Amino acid sequence: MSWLVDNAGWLARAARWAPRTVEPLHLRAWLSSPVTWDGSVPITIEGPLQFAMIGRETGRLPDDVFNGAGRDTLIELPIPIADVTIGERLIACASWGAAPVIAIEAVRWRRKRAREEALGVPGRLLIKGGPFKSLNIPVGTLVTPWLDFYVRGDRALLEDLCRDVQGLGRDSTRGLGTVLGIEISSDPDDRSLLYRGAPQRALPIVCDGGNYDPRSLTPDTWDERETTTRAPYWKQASLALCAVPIVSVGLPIAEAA
Amino acid sequence: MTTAKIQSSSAILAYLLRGLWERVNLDRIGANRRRDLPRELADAIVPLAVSQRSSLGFVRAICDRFEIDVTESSSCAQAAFAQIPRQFVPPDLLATFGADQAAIPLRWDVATTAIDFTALRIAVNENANLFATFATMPPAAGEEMVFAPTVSSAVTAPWAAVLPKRLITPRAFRTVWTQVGPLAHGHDEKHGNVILFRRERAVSPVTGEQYLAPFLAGNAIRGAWRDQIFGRLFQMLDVKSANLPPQRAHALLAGGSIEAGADSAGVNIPARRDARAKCPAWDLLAGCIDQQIMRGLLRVHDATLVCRENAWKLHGVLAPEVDGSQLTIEEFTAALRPADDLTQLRLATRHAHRDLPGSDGSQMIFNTEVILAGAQWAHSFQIIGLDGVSELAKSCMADFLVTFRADALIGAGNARGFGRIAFDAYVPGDGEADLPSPEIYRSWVANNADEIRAWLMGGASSSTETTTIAGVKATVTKGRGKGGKVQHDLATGEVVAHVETEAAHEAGAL
Repeated sequence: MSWLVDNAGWLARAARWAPRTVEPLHLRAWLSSPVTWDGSVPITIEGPLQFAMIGRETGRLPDDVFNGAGRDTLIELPIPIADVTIGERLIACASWGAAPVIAIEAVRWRRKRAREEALGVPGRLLIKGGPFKSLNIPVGTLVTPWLDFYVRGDRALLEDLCRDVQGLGRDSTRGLGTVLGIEISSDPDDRSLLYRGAPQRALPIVCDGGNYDPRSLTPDTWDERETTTRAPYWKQASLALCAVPIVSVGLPIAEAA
Repeated sequence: MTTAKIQSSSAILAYLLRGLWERVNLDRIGANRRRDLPRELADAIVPLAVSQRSSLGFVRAICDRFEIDVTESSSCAQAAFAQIPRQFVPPDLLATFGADQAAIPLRWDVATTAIDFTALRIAVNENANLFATFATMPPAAGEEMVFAPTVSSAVTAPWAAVLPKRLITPRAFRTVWTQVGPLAHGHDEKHGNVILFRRERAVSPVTGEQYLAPFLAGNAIRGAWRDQIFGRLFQMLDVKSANLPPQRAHALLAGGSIEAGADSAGVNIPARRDARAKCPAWDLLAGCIDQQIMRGLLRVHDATLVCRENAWKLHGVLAPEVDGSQLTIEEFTAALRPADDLTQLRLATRHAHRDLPGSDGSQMIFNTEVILAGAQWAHSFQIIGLDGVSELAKSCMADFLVTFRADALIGAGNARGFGRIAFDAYVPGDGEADLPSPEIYRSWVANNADEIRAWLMGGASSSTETTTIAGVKATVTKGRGKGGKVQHDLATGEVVAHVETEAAHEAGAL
């Protein structure tokens, strides 16, 4: 594939971001503004870390770097988080973002207006529709002072890369999901995948009698649905039937049910 | 303010408003006003909550506005009461009522004491229509479910304060704006003739409670900066936006629009690289252009009002100190004023000028809620992946900041004198290099003016051909969606004709 050939250089260099020493860690991302939230799509940390890593290695934005890579091709991008194999799928040892019980759901209106007088449109300019449509769009948000992520990863590399994790969720270029800073500490409970038998992220359903077998999971803490299992999560290439945590704003993930 | 407290206060407020509404004297109100009375209540409820400082003040203001007499008088046998379902009445007020009484009659002043004012403001700010409907309509089956506690609000464990420690702070440029005039920023909704300041719910990790915080949206600041950054480029190139192809100008000044097929359009790597290379301002701000959805390098954050409620997120950023010793979070919090003390309603009048011949305007008064002059805002921005960003893009930002600082306006109502701010230069955070000299960008623009102009006109990155129109040599640019073909004079850069755009306008398609 020509894209891979063209990008072989930096992809090889990027291997330095793979974890060397792994330990259970707790990443608390403090936020100074609400983060986009639709109640079902989780907020994850792998994407922002990949974003930061690509910026470090290429000096360019992922949109530009991956142009031509193919929408459905999943390219492995090393980040300082360890992987496990569950049902032949690589799964990052990283929980979904968990908000404290005081978090609330809200709405941020995003406005966009055509600069009518600056446009040289002859005659009448329609702003209720068409290419110059002005918008006032409600964006669902989660208002929370922080999000907790539990990972198994390389502390030193994470501390370095987190300096370029500038926003979480969509619309971070416009003020949402602004990261005030990230605290990294040890996670004695190793909650990256499971906590008290409850999944902390999407786990592919496997019936092997192991820890991730649905029969081993705590009932009423998870749901079953098709979802992607590998960042970037918008790529459908990693779609699988998964056990996913039930997330309820105002309750911790493990106690949501 | 907890969710549970907001919900219980909301319920009492709704039933109290209904009790008060029953006493509106329709004869005094008059027929004209009567027709739109529920709408008037919905419009008035938020401004009145903002302009008052207590629940009692709010109720008094509602009574004044709608001529409600709450006292016992010759026309009313008793003072105003609210019939409140038992489950919403605080336990300490239930003592004197029978256990089988489903609805508890609370005198208006007693009911008012059970409404937390912060909760009231949050509740009405988010759903004025709900309260107006509830108050003005007769009771309906199941209506109490509107205020039923949610699962999350049932969590009542006491909250222990948590504050950030040892933060790994993302690289950013920060400053503090000081207002030298009032500042306005329109609320999400209209409230009659009152334009409120924009607010949203926030949560304090110190108290675990919610508060309503005025804020300036990063999106709004980014939009204003976009206007100024491109306006400056047009000025340097002596180009007028009205002479650009309209959709090009729309993309530059407002981010463009995603045309049908743009999200699945073929990737045009040359067009993307061309855009970033030819226009550093576009590299910073980006949008959708030539059917390419592009991300800008610039992240503009919300501006955070320096007030007591926001102390927890400002303490680490501002590192406040007095006489060389740093203030603790408690000292810093105590030193700041609550957000409500920093707002004011400004009355303005739009004159009808009936003395002028032909005037058909109507006289109108309106209020604008502003943040008082002297208030401060913490603001920051980031440039994504700074290590690899071109010097030109960073220099373009530096150039903009010089002009922005010299004539800094933000928010709405600039023409009325609102929004003037002053600030020290943005300071790079730890590990962040300072921005390069603006001269790099300025001289690059001067040396590449023709090429940039051609890109602005929609050339270079799209298929173009040269033709002759009415004897004038011109470039014809194709493939701009509904905008269609746009023809420019090569010499002046001026638009010769908007062939399909005009046709589309005539057909009413645009």
